[in-house]
Amino acid sequence: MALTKEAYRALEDIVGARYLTEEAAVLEGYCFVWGNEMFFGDRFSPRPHAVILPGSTEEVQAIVKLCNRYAIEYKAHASGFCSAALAGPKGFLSIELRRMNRILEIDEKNMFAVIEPCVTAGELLLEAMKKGLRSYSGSSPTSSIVASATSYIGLSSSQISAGYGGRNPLGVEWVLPDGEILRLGSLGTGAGWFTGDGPGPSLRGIMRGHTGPSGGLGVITKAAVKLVPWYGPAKMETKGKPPSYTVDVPENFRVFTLIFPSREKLYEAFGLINEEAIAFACSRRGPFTMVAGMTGSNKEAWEIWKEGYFQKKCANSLALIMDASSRREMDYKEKVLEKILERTEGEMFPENAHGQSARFVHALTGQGGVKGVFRATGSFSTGANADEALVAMLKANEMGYEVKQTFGKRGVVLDDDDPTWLTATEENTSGAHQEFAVRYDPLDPQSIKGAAEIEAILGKLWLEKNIDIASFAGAFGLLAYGGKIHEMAGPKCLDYHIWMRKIKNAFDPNCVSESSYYIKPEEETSPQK
Amino acid sequence: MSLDEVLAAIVGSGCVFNDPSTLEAYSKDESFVHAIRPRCVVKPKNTGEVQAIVKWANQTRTPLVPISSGAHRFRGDTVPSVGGAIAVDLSQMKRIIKIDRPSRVAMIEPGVTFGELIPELGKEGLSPFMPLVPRRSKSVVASCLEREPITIPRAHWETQDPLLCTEIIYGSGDLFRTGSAAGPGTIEEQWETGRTQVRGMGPAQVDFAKLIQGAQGTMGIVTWVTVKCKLLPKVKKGFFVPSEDLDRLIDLTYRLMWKKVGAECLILNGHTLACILAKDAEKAIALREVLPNWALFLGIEGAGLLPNEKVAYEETELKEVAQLFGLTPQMVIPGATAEVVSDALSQPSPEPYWKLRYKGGCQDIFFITNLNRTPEFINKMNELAGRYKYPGIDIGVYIQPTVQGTNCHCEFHLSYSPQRSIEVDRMRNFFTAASKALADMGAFFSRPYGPWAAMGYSRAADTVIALRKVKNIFDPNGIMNPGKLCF
Amino acid sequence: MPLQDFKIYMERCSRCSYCKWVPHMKMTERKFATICPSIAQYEFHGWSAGGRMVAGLSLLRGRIDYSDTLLDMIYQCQMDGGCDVSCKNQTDLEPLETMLELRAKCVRDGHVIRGHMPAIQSLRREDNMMQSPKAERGKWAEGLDVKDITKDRVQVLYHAGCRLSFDKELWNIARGTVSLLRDAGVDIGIMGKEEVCCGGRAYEWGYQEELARYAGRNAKAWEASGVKMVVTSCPHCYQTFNVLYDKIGMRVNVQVLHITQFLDFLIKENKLQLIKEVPMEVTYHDPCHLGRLAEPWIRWNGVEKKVMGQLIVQDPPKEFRRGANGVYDLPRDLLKSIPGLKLVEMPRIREYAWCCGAGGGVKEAYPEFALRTGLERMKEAETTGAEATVSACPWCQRNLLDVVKTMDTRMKVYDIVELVQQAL
Repeated sequence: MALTKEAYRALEDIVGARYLTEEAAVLEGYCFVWGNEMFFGDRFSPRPHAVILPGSTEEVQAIVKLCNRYAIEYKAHASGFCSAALAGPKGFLSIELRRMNRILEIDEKNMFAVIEPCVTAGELLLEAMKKGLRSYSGSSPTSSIVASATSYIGLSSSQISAGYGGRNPLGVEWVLPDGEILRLGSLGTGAGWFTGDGPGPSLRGIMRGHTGPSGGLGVITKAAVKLVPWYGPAKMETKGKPPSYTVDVPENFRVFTLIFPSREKLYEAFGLINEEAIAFACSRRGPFTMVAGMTGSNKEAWEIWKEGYFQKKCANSLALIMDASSRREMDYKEKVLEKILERTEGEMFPENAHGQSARFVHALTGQGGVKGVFRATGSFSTGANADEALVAMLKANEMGYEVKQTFGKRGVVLDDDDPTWLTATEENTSGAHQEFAVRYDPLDPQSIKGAAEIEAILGKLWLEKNIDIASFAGAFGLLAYGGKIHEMAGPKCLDYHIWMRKIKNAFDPNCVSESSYYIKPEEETSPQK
Repeated sequence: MSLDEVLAAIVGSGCVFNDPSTLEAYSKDESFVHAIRPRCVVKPKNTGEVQAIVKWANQTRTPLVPISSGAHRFRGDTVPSVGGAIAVDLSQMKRIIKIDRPSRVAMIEPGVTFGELIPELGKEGLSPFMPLVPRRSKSVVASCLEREPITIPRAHWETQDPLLCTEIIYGSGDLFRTGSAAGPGTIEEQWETGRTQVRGMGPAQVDFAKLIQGAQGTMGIVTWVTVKCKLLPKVKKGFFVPSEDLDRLIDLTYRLMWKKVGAECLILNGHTLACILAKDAEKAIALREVLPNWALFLGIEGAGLLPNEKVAYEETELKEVAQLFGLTPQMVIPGATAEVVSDALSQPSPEPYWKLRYKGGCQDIFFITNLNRTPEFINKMNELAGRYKYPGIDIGVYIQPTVQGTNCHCEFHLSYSPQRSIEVDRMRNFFTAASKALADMGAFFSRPYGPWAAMGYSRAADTVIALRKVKNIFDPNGIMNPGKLCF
Repeated sequence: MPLQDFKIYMERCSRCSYCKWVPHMKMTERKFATICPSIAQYEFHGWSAGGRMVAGLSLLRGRIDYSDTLLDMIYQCQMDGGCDVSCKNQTDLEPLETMLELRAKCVRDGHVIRGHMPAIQSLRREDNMMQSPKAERGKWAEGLDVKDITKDRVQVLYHAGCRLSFDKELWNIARGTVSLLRDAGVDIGIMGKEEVCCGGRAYEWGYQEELARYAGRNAKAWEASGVKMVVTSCPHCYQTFNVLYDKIGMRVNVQVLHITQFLDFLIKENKLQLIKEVPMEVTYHDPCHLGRLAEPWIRWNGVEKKVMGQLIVQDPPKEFRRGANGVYDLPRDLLKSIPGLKLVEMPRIREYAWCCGAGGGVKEAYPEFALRTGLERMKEAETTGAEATVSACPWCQRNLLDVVKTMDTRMKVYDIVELVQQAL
């Protein structure tokens, strides 16, 4: 149902006519995004009632209060680069935060930045690098740092050294679903942005878990996020022409592709690299992802793939980037790496400067992700995530790889031979996150169906075999939509979903914060005793 | 059935205590929190018993006060705020349920102290992340739940560290496990798959552990946790960087944080260092005389594949960086060796607890701030000390960079003699006035014990409203430690 | 190709928003990190290449119908191609070509922009986009005594283009160019009032048929005159002659050079010597149509096929135009060869340059937007500390001059030829 004239006028009074629209042509841009085809059988999801572009916290608050008064569902987004940001089973008011894009402060000494939601990872990195710092990269340089830290997943290629996004927020300003403003941590008492926890229990626990509420619990309007040291230059010099830009890997960095004789050895090396705290970034990338990342087109990738070299050589490979604040430190890290390779029978795979540059840039900025997963077929799914101890992740890889290969060999999804992506959460923190990227053609119903089936099979398998899924439910994947994952996983995970629902109900009493990627505000039941 | 009988039916008659001396002991601690005697004390032995107690308490609306650590307790959080409460002492739950070397994680019950955990971890080649020289009776679980800062800021990615997963009986009586421990599957089934409960976030889109941490037992009773551990060092070296100029040490600390050099990294003043090292007050006074006013302590550990190389490179780095600030790292300073401090930092305190050695009593004022702001707070404390006739020289200071240097824990130790009522009165006044003055300056009392709760929450009305919603979900009948925080 | 043929690209847009930003590896300043003037001005996603891909798809599928808003969304865009470079740095999509076809569909369906009509009518009646009588086309050259190729045989035709022919304030550029070339011994002529529009700007606005018409007329006139080479000061004309005519299968068998290319040739051949000091610090603005849009057309008549199950590859292999091969270095070399002149670069240059604001019919239909876009460019130029912005395009020149009038700045705007003249 469209907004009433009265409601529309009231919204217009808040932001001005320029920043509000219910024109169908404009709304179309807010219901079309990759992944929708998995849920809606089409890249278009139901159209929002209207799109509004607030410019300040006050405006966001006024909008949310109005939504409560008029019972209008709303959902906010930053870059809008995933289904969870834009889609729902029916229309709602889509709040795009792109006008809120200020970097309010970079505290160089205390290594944090205070930013608004639409500061992108790429932008923050540019500014932070000037001060010898960097932010975690998010999934791509266009993604919002605030969104990934507070509301969505928070993964990045260099999280082993930059921190998992969800663990990075400090003080946060948050317009709750009912329109009240909550300032987390030290911000709440007026002491500043430096911590988001307390007084007493940390309400960051409500703000997000392993993933965020994907727009289902109000709007984050500002956040302080941790920054980490950057040992490279204040500006990166880029050479070359599109689509083959390269950078010289800075002096204090090393980029390696390591290859191992078996998956077991690879996982062992991965564990050791984490334990020894020598990585700037460390992840397992499948051979096709490697090839896609280093090439300028599908054609080029296909030419290389046909040779079969990468599949053969890099089936069990790790991309490792090391940084150091001094030559001395790098010497030490290189020696440690030598030891690890010795122990795990690993080797360094010779890679040209272009390949090294691609890997380095991807780790630093997230750039290359689009190339790596979208260019090949037009879309990918990655719902089958897991994040726990390495032993369990290796098992999950074996099971999942087999399933994925079956579909790949049938030609339903890209037959890319890629095993799971594997990445450490943080240095000093054991275990790993892994996920299967399934590349499919969003124009081919059979391909979409195949990708969906893989997700469904793996989701079920993960639950049956006690691998892990609950920790990652929420933002992505077929099962995330409409709370399916919660209904499936909740009963096997101590009914967490019932607690979540209580939280949703308590904080969103009028059920207006659109929650198809969070939890439906249904009648409460009691958890298992 | 009488109360005793009901509780005895749950925990066994030997685990219910209501003798006057026991009740007296649980009625107060070292803080200025008003003493209220519990109705009785129970000591459950397992999760099932804890859950039965909580369910019973819900039926009877009986307040419960969970306690994990032994005496001396300091914060007032385990002292009942209301009459008729049952003190649930978890000190008998002492199982170290599992230590997993590859995941560097330990699953432990609340009664396990640092002194008990350290040797067991050591057998597996691991060691715990330590708060600053905890007392012998300190529960590891309680330390994590209280968000006590660890001394290795580099490994302190966020405030929650090193706590990972928890098992809790919520105030509602429901059993829950936070983080990846929630499932799928029982813990045993998870182990079979190779999982080791290493992911503290979640499950799903709520970080349940964060709502328990810092709650002073107001949300439920934690029956085990998993904690992140580190490799046991094979080679260890410690360095003091002494200085009369705190600002310079702060600058050095920032640089060390940026370069990620070293393990333990903290700043102590002479008085605190003397209290940690000396066996009694007399020796502490003598030691304080010769110790520098300020010292940064940096521990360097080699624990992995090339321990000697690690220590060697970090030592050189430290020296080079210190030189930039005109400072010199030293392994020995007048009155102390770094080796002794390094050992002290990896163990609980010998008895008597170092904070009590000087005068028999101690009040701590601690909060979160930024490192560069600590001198302002120190100046304020010195200023107020004069006003409240507290000897400035007896103010102990501990500055702990946290969250990898993003913020810091600033702690003042104020020793006094609890036997001298005039000192007690002065201390109470000084403590109250100083807490307020520091908060006014922007000190953030993230762990709001005792009077800090009212002080903090009066400045954060929105937080109070939100926290009450949370409380209502997990402890709808308000039986868990009522009167604490804002509940 | 009809819009329908671009459906595969529209449906494969992931909405990554790369089209809104300078390629990330090329970002140097946060302030100048965006590439798309349209989204910067109008904010809603529809005002980006990604948004227009969605709109196009939606229109084709009948989800939406034409409306004023849709037309604004499609036409409030300079068609500068920055989005295309950023997108294709990561993908194998065709956002700019899709947008061109979307405009063509609008025109075919009779949905046109009122603000464009005077120029289009002028084109149809007077063979120029400047709403001026065709009889006045050659007036800029009055008194120059330059050969007229309709009467005299010459080696080189100087094609002034619509803007220089009718914008009096810029006549000095055209006149200077002719003098300069003649002084260098070039056997040069013009077409005077017989010169006609290249048709490129109309094509860009969706009037595709005009392009073919003018391609034919120009080809005929040039062939009849026997010229060996055409030199133009206008990057729009340059791009149209070299790229668009080829695209529609009407490539002319005459070499077409932009003036910067020809001057470079003359200097290398020692026919032109830059000897006078021009003590000035300048920054160079890359015209879109000389830069990323000037990449030669790559003909591809193939089909998509799938390998590895679902990997989309083109058969025969398709080379994508990704903005790498525009004319970027020659104008810079030319500036650097001027004694005493120092060239400093803006944050956004070459294939990721920010548009001047004039293209795509924006100057005609949405003049305020054109000025705002140009203002951002001039502010960017100011950050370099240069005294002047130099361009090599009369349309850029016009818009930037208009912008400067609204600014409190000492910065000047020059055409590159004006500086070359000073150095002779």
